[in-house]
Amino acid sequence: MELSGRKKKKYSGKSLAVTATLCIFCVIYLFPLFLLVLSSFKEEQYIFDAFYMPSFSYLDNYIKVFTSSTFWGSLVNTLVICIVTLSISVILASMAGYVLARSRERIFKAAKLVYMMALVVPAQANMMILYKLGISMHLINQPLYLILIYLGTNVSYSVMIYNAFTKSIHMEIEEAARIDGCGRVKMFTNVIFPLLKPATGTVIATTIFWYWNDFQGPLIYLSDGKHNTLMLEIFNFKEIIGTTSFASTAWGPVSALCIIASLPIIIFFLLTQEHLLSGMTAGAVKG
Amino acid sequence: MSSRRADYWKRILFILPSLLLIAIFVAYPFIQGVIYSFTDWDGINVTKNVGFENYINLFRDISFKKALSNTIFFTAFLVVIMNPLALGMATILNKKIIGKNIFRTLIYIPTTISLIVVSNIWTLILTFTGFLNKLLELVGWGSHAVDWLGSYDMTPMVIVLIIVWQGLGNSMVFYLAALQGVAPELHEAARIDGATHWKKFRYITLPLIMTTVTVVLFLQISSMLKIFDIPYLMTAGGPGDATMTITMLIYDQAFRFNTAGYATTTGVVLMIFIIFVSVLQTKLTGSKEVDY
Amino acid sequence: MMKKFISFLLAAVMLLSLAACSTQTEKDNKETSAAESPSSLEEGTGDAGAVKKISVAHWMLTSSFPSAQAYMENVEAIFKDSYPDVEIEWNPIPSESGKYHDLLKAQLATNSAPDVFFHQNAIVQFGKADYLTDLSDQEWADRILESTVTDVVYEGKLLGIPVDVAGWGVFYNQEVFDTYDLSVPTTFDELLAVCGTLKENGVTPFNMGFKDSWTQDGPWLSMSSFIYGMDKNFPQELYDGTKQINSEEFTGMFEAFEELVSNGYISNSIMSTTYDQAAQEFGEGQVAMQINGPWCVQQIYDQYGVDVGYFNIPDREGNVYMTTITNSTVSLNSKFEDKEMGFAMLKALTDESSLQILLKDSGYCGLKDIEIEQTLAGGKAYGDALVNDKAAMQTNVWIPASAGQKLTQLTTLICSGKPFDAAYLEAAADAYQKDKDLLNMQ
Repeated sequence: MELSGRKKKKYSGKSLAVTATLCIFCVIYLFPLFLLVLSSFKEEQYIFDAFYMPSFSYLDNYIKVFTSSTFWGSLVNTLVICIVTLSISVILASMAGYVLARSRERIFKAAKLVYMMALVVPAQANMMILYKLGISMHLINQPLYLILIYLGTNVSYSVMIYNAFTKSIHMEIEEAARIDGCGRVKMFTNVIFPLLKPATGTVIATTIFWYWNDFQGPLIYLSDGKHNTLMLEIFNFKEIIGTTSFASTAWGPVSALCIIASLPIIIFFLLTQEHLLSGMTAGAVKG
Repeated sequence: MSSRRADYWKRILFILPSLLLIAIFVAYPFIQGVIYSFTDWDGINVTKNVGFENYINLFRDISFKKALSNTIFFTAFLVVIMNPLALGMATILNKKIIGKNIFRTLIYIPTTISLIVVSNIWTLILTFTGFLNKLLELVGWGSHAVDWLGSYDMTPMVIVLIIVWQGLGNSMVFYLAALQGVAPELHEAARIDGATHWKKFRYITLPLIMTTVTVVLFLQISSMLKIFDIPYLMTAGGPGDATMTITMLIYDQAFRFNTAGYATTTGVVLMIFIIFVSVLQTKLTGSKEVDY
Repeated sequence: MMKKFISFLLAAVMLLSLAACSTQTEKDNKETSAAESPSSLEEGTGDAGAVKKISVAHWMLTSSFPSAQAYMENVEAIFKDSYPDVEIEWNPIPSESGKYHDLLKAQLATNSAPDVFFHQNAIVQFGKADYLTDLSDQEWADRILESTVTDVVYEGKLLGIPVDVAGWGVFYNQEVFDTYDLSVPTTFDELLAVCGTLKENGVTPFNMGFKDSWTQDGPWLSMSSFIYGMDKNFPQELYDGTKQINSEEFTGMFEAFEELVSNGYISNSIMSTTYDQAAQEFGEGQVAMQINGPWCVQQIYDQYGVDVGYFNIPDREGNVYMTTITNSTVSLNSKFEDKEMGFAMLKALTDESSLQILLKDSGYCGLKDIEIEQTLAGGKAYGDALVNDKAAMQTNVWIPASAGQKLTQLTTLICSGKPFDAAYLEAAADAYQKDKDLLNMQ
């Protein structure tokens, strides 16, 4: 928090009061998250003891997570799925977005329509059929299949971003490069793509949340328990941790897992927020 | 000229991979789904074509009607609660305040968390022996302690509030960016003319941020009409059918009732409904957009 | 820079697809060799080099199930008597029932399913798709328990053997009942009186773990005495159209349930309670009764050292019906060519010695000549009820899942404090009419 002396003079008493109110608001607002953190340090019998303050040295729950046979696999799966999806998505969407912005033929206008339509189809309508398709492609329960589905359903969003951004790159740059003998492909890889870096940043920063946090997709397409993602791992954790009985929700370890699964993405957000927030809103504000 | 033709085909190649992915994983399933919606597909066998029977049954289906009304309820209340809050927060954060970026970040954090983690967080609080009831007991309002996730009347609203909690940061950030684009001179001029806060907002700010409002509303509505994770994880549609949404119904129809053809029918109808509402909404708010 | 990146990416994608394809080819190879070797036995091509295999899948034979190992060993011993050279591949499908069935269906659809497999609630789907071998002229045909016929017979053909049969009813904490000198109620009003006594003494009569939503079906599955008591041919009449779900039978049942709730005999935190929390309260005596199934007996005894008793909920006139459903049925894949070997495996799996191991203290058999030994009081009580009370089909056998969901929703509605609402029964009736073709009724 910047409270250096020279800044203080600019702020009135009223704004200090507002700041104080905001502080209180944020504390209350984030309190539920704090409760989760607390739960992850509690022994099982105190989970529902609302005012019990645990000693933060009880690391049993976290140990249970880190030593569970499936946790590391699910972490790797989630990372792989995110990285591969983002990489392929960036490449394909930038290519498509660039070309759409620079082409006038009708076929490209039609393609643009296809991209927009893809945004509207709800995932649930296609669930069962994609499931069967996965079976016949022998790809069901493989992370690769989930990646393909993510790409198919989400590439349109990125294409729109790249399309809008490409339009802000002046044609003179391309004309100059063409005079120098640049073909279309070289133009894209050597000239345009580097200029699209901000758009790439936006695409990565905004879409990574969908892939990291997604629950429905793994629930349906990775259902055999051998290739969990972190979110599916949370859902199934009670059976993995389990006791001799049915469905025991061990809240302590589950809370610990929730924290562990959320930390990377929160850190990522904190590091890239400027990119995320400016990119997200640029399109909305300018219309 | 051959190099122009070559260039044309190169450009086609550029859009081909993504279009192919869409064709296989979005278009094909959808078209196949529409075909199945005219059959009695049970997930494994298709024995006969039933024409429009599934569609007719759907419109008579009490579960569908209730899921539809629940979904509309969720969406309407989300819009009505979320937007004033988000806009209000954005307005406050638009002023000169110490550490406003920190507040913006903090409020955004719940948006970055997965819905399954959100559901775990709130289940711990709202369960009958959870934090909220214990708090009520502490302040002497123990008699008001209810099963927050097991009440036919209150649980739907509880679900809406949880989703507001999660999504506030997202909408707020959009509004903040929009407000930053409104020139302060306009407000200054109006203030000199003696305009009240409300008048300033209604006649200056609101029209100028309308493009953003359109986008934000569109995103909120189109995603809320498909809401699945939170009610699925927290209440399983209950108690009774109080929190059953359309996408949850599709899931049950496809995977639990063995009526997969019927499920695709519901999916098609849902999509048409979403398109209809979105078009309506963007036209309505779009017409109010203004540029000074 | 870009080129390096692209090649790295291509490599990653290729690796992933290789991994995907290789696991699948492995599976395919296993399946084809299993399917091929029996036929080469038959045709006498004498491919001495190939290992003959038969694969058997069940979701229960995991390391967390104590009798799994002993069961598999017993089956192997019996099977090897007739087929010493054939290797048995156990559990090609990973456990956990819900996903097990999705995977099984997926494999059946692509002809890569195990040779012998256990399944649940799928006889109509599998029968229609012709996935199962007809067993009608084998030894099991006249040993099938009547109430399980609908689970294993499709269009007149016996397509599976009912192995494990169970249902829902009331388990009570024996110690609590003894403390307050309570006896098993024979009419619904007696049950209400028992609940009243318990409540007066500070014991919660009923609590179940409704937070784990699979338990929510318990009440309407366990109170069917109200239906059969009024009309024991209700299922058939419903199918023929002379009766509806929104009728006095179902209404009477739900009104009785509502009485339990409105008198406070069901814990008011039931919607928030998990299965294990409820088990703990039950085992420790804070709760006296649970609507549950015989799978709970072992757990309660192991964790809380408590004996449980059992009774089926009677209707107001004192009619008591016991309803069951087949929890697991075993069938032979129709694509498996060596039928004799298949039948031998089925015989080994359902041999009395094998079933005694598999079902001891936790299940009951669908073959009427086999009585499973029960060592725990709860198991004995359940077994006695199976023999003594009138047997009938569990309700979710003769109504489609979509109608069942409305009944479950009505249950949770009443538990949340709302009064009985006939609209849910109407909705169930509509769902019944729409989906009755999914049922296995004539």
